[in-house]
Formats: sequence, structure tokens, C-alpha cells
Amino acid sequence: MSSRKKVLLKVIILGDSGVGKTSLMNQFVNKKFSNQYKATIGADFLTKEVIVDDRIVTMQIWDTAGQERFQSLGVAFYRGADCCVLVFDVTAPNTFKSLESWRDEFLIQASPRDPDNFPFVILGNKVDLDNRAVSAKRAQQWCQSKNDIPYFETSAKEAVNVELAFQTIARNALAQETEAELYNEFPDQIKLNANDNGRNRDGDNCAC
Amino acid sequence: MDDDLPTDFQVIVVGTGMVESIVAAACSRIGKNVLHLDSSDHYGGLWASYNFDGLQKFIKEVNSDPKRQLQVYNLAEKWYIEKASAEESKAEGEEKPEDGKGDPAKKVWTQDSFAAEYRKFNIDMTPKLLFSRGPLVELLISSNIARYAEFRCVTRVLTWLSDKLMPVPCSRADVFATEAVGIVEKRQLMKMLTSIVGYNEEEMNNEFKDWNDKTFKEYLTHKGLTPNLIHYVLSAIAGGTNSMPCLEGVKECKKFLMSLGRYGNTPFLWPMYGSGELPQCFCRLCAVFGGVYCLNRPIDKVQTKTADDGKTVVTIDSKSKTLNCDHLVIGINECPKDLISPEPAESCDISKAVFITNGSIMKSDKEPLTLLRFPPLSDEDNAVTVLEVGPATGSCPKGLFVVYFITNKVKDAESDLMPIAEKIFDMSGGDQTADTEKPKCLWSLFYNVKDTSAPVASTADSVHVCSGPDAGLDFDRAVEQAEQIFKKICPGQEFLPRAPDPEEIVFEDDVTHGPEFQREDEDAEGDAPKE
Repeated sequence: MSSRKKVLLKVIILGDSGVGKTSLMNQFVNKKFSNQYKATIGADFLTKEVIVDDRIVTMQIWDTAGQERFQSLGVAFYRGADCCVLVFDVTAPNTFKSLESWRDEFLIQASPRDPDNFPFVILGNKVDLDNRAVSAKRAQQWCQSKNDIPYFETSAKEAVNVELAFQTIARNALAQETEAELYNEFPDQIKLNANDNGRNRDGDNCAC
Repeated sequence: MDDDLPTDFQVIVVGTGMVESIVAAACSRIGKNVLHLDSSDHYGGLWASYNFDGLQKFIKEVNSDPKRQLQVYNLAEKWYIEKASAEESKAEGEEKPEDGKGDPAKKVWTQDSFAAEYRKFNIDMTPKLLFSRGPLVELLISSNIARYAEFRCVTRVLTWLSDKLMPVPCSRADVFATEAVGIVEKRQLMKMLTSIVGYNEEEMNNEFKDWNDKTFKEYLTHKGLTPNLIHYVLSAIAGGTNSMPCLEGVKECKKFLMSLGRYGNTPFLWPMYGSGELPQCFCRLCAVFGGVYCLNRPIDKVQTKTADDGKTVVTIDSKSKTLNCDHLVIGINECPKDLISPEPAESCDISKAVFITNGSIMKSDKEPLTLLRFPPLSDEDNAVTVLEVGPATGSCPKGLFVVYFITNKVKDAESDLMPIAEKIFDMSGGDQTADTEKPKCLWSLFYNVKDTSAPVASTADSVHVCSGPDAGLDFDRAVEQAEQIFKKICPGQEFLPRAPDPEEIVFEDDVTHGPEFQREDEDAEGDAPKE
């Protein structure tokens, strides 16, 4: 296997509105945080290169673009995900309770080849706030009960654990990806872009 | 959560079909405040793709709701395989070669094994192709929406000639490689095709000035093409019949030829996971630019009223909430009848069928992706478009193919399409491991769709009605209509200008407005959206 091949990992971030999905992405990729809450506008996906075990890996982290707000994420969003990050707000118990349904929703919509071993990572965000309402223990217990999903307590605002969490995400997604490659019998999907002439066969593009 | 839904928007879009989704994206992209609703729990309306479970639900819904049957009717689903596997039922005492189970590709499918793998199916209600240099490909690239989708190239074009399937030579290499036509014919074909592509407008007008009221077939005959070649050019390349007008034939040929050589061996692309992905790509762009999405949100009542300042406001009642907008964009199937100007008298409904088979209609080394244009069997019939897609497109599990038939209705879907199915499939059911010449049909669905593809005017200026799917091969009419509607809502504005790449988005630390988009100027010519 050509392990020197460029690796692109698709990571999607799910969780209720306002738990800090966009902020976490932005902290990880751009090292920036804004206190101003607004429903996600303009955030699409962010890419960042990371190094995992001497391999350069490009993480493409997909935001929900606000379509989760009224439970309206379409199946296209989930296609081809290598890792799913579920986020809740440690000060808002409802967002913790939603994790279960987000996980189920992901498994139904993305229908990964091996649902039992698909890499999830759980982030309990906003640990910088005082009014914490979901204990670390409770969160950990839930994660353990779900096939030992890795759990991190993060603060996008103060950059607590964000780097570490995303390292784990990359590592687990990569393990999944390497496995998936073995099964990928049809590698040559076409992406469209402006100066692409595709697999331009010798001098054949002037019709016959 | 529904209570959070804001009530005032510049544009409300109802329905997530192709036209509606493109308009939603275009409006949101230039800064309009957009709400996009759909009454069902998934995107796409009649343009959707379903997994096998979703498709069963769709069939049930339509069969139990007379209102839905105004859009989709004559649904006939049929199985050609057993419910449960032989080991469980142990019913048949046939001498099946059980030793080593034979060829692993010849899996014995049951209804239960379909159900077990239901998520691996993506079955299109409106399967369509993209011309590699057609308007939708150019729009996806120029708007940067292409980043949300992946495609596969159609690997071959087939035709039905002398009672059998034949590959159609598409490219120069194909023409020379084919054994189906002789040397002299090859030269004739090349000359004909080269000249059609080469004509500029003036030469075109000159060459065809006397052909306005004649057929394309007459033109090809006049040019001295043999019957074989006429069949290739008319039926397979132009997708026409004997009555196809000459200029239309020339136009269709040109479109086909211009799209060759960009991405692969044929002029066509097929969206991964089916055509139902494409409306979702446009919806995502709309959402990225602030559009609000709400599925499962039926509407009850639409009214227009004139405000004090003379502006028209459209109000929509939905789940006991009143939503207001300046412009309503609405799919024709969702639109209250009193808002539609009288329907055009002439329309021809669509006959469709989906088949799931255990092999390709024509064997090939690598998994094929096939367009077959089946010429009319008799003068009363229409040509039938056949699309065959396999596991590599994400349409079905390994070992199966999904085949779509589309034609203009003559009698009903089953009567119109069954004769052709019988020519290319083995419809007899029975032993799946048997080495048959034709693939076995394991499951079929016939249905008719009301033709709602003609543009429809609304009775109010601020209500814009979007057409339903047409029977055509590509998405061109949907793209064209979406642009027209957008121009009415946002006159003088650019239609889907390029969205910035994520790296070009600058986040500010303490902004009160949305993020700014900065476009890199260093390489202006590299950004040219069109070639």
C-alpha cells in the first residue's frame, strides 16, 4: 500500500445549535475565538494539515451550516465521513441528552460500512464557564457505554484540549480511512473544477 | 424548536426540488434572507433519491394518498425473487449446484437480503445525466458548488440495432476501433461529425437554410450516410426519432460532441449516489450563506396582500404560524391552484420504470455505467432513455445493477416500457445462478409521473412557480428556469457568483456583522469561471 499517498479525511461535527461546533473548528484551524454568538453563517468546511505518526494528513472539517437547527441536515452532508465529532455544552443538560439521537442519526444517514467500530469522538465544550451542569463522570459513563468513545472536555474560548481532541480525531479517522482504502474498489470519482480537463485522452477532445 | 422559527424573510422557498434549490442558493448567495421549507422529511421532492426502505415508504404513501396520485400514478411494484432464502424456506427440491456455491458473483438474492442491505440502495425518482460541458457542470464549477459533489463518467453509450445491443462509437478512437462500421462509413461519419462541430453560426445558417421544415433523418440521408450511420447519429447521438426536426438534431449532436473528451470516454457525468444529491448541494450553499432550513414543514395557506407602502407581501400559514416574505418561490406540486394561471393545455405525462438486476445488460471488463437510447419499437411509440448504474455509483450493493427507463407516455408505464424490458432483461424469475445471456430482473417498479415541466405563470407577481421534473436527459431546463426566476426576484444581480473557498474566509475577532469574504486576486486568470 502506498502510505505516502496524500490523505484527506472528512470529519463532520454534530450537536445541538449553540454548543460551539463552529467555535471549536475555528479555534483549532484559525486559533481564533469570537464571543459573539450567531447562528452559523459562512462556515462551510475548514481544512488543516496535521501530522499523525509521521504522515501528513489533511483534515477537512465540515460544519452543519446551521441546517441542524430544525433537524434538516440532508443525507448528502453525511456521505463519506471518516470520523464524527459529537459536541455538547457542559452547562446545558439537554445538549448532552441529544448526543444519543445525534449518534443514531449519524449511523442511519451515513450508514458506515462497520457501524460498531466507526470512530466517534465526544467533546464536552464550554468548561471555562462556571455554571456547569453535566459532570465529567456522567459524560464518561455514557461514552464508555457506547463502545468506549473517546471523551474530551474542551473550551473553544480558552483553547483547552482543542488541539489534543483534534489530534485524536485525526488519528482515529486515519485508522478508519486506512481500513476503508482496502475496501475501496472504485477510487476514481470525479471532482469538477475550472481548469480540469479530467483524464484528457491524447488529442481526443475535439469531438471525433 | 419550531417556535424559534423567525417569521420575516425576503424570500421563502417551498419545496426542495432542483429548480427551487437552485433559486434558494442564488438568492442567499447575493445576500437575500431566505427560508427554505419542505413538507416531507427529506430533500428533493420528486427529484429525490431513496434507499430501499425509503422507496417502500414512498410507494406506500402514494398508494394511500389520492392527492399524491395527481403527481405519481399507476405504481406497480413486482418481485421476481423469493421472500426468504432457500435455506430457511427449503421449499424447492431443484438440483441447484450447491457445491462450493459456484461463482461468488452469482449471489442468490432474496427480498430479505434486499431489506438487509437497504441502505446501500440509492434509487432516483428523476435520474438524469450532466453533459460535461453543459450548463449545470459550468454552473457547479463557476459557483464553486462543485465541491459538494462527486461524479462518475458514463463509460459507454449503447444503441439497439438489428435486434441487439451495440456500442456507439463516441470519440475518434472509438470510431476507428469499432468493427461495427466499415472503412468508408468511418470516413463518412467522421466528416459528418467534424463538420457539425466546426460550423460557426454563419456557416450553420448557410448550410441549414433550406432545412427548417425538414427532418434530421432527411438531412442525414441527403448527406449520403448509410442506414447504419443514420441510426447511430440520429438515435444514439442526437437521441431523436424519425420525426426529429433537422435543426434540433444538429443542435443535439453538437451538444453531445462538444462535451466529449473533458472527463472521459463519453460526454456524460452521473452524480455519485444519484441525482437526488444535487438539490442538496445547492441547499447547502444556501445554508452556508445564512439560509434557514426546515424540513417536515407543510404549508396551509398562501395569501398576497398589499401593504400601506404599496409593496406586496406574501403571507404563508404553516403549523399555526404566519410567515411573511416579499417573494415566494414554490414548487408546482405544493402550490395552491388559485395561484397558478390556467395550465397549458398540451402536456404529455412521463412513463418511468426502475429495474434491479443481477448483471449488466451487456458484459464488460470494468463495471460499466451505461446510457442506452432505445429507438421507438413502432411509429406510435416514443424513444426510451435507459440508464444503467452499478455499485461504483453508490446506487446498489455489489452484484446488482439499477436500470432506469424514461419515456413520454403513450398508454401507461407498464405497457409503454415492458416490451423493451423483455428485450434486454430476463423477466422470467427463476434460478439466479443460471448462466443466462441476459441479466435476470429481480425487482421492478413502473410508474407514471404527471408532466409538470412546462413553465407556469402565477397570478401574483411576487409568487414564482417552479416546474417539476421533465423527461429530458439532462438538467438544462431546470437550470435555465431557476436563472429566470432568480432574475425576476433580483434583477441586475449576478446569478451564483463564485463562493469563496474556506481558506479565503476571514474571521474577525469581534465582529458584529457576518464574516467577510475576501477573494484572492493574485491569479485572476486562473479564476476564470469559463474556458
